[in-house]
Amino acid sequence: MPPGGIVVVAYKRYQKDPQGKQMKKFDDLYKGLKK
Amino acid sequence: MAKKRRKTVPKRSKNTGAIGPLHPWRQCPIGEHWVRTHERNVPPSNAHPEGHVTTVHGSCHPNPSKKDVLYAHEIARIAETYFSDLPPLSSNDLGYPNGDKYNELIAGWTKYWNEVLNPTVPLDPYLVKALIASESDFNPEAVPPGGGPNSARGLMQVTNDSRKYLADEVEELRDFLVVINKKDITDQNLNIAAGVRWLFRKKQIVESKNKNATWRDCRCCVQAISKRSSR
Repeated sequence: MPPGGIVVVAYKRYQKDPQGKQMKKFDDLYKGLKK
Repeated sequence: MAKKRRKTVPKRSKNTGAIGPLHPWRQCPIGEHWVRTHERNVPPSNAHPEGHVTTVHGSCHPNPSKKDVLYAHEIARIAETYFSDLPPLSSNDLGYPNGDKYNELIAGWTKYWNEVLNPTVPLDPYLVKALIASESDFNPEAVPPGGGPNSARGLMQVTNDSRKYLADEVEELRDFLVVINKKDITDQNLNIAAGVRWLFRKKQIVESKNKNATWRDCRCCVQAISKRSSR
């Protein structure tokens, strides 16, 4: 599958669960930096 | 009598006809790339029966594609020359031993790609830093569990597939390419330069599905590609 296709599949999966475990870790880190 | 000041005329590329570089930090006109000063072994000849070593001075060389390409030599030169003068990121190690070690590279490459690719909403360097923290814990040698030879590597977990896509002017990027050898992908500077460029490409893909996509939305795809490539 071309990279564009992989990204689109991943993005569709993400849209179903935009607050997933990995995203929570990232969001917490990002908030920590923006304080 | 006042001395006449000599005007600096931007160099024109013999390869593309473009005048001047793409960005003030670049050495060569668009369509050419920088090769640093290096030594060259000259084979034996009548004048030098045992061969000899000459110094080849740094110079611009044409890119066969005539497109903009960043090679490792110039990525190193840009970071060494310009990044220490940039406004620093606020110090915050997020509790990691190397949490502030790469701030200069993060600030530098985010600024560079924001200026070259000029997105409507600029990429925030702190988002890149949070991404590095969540992907690699600031470990430049990071490999995902069970990772194979082509799996994600380094601070931004750049996969071997992504590395190839970044150098592929036909299938993927079409311009503003980044060419890095596989063995160099864990180099901190090269990994961040390539990783941030790849993030811009992902934003472009996600925006084709949702024009209101944010930079956060692009983070979702890092993990998916890392998992696929480590199989």
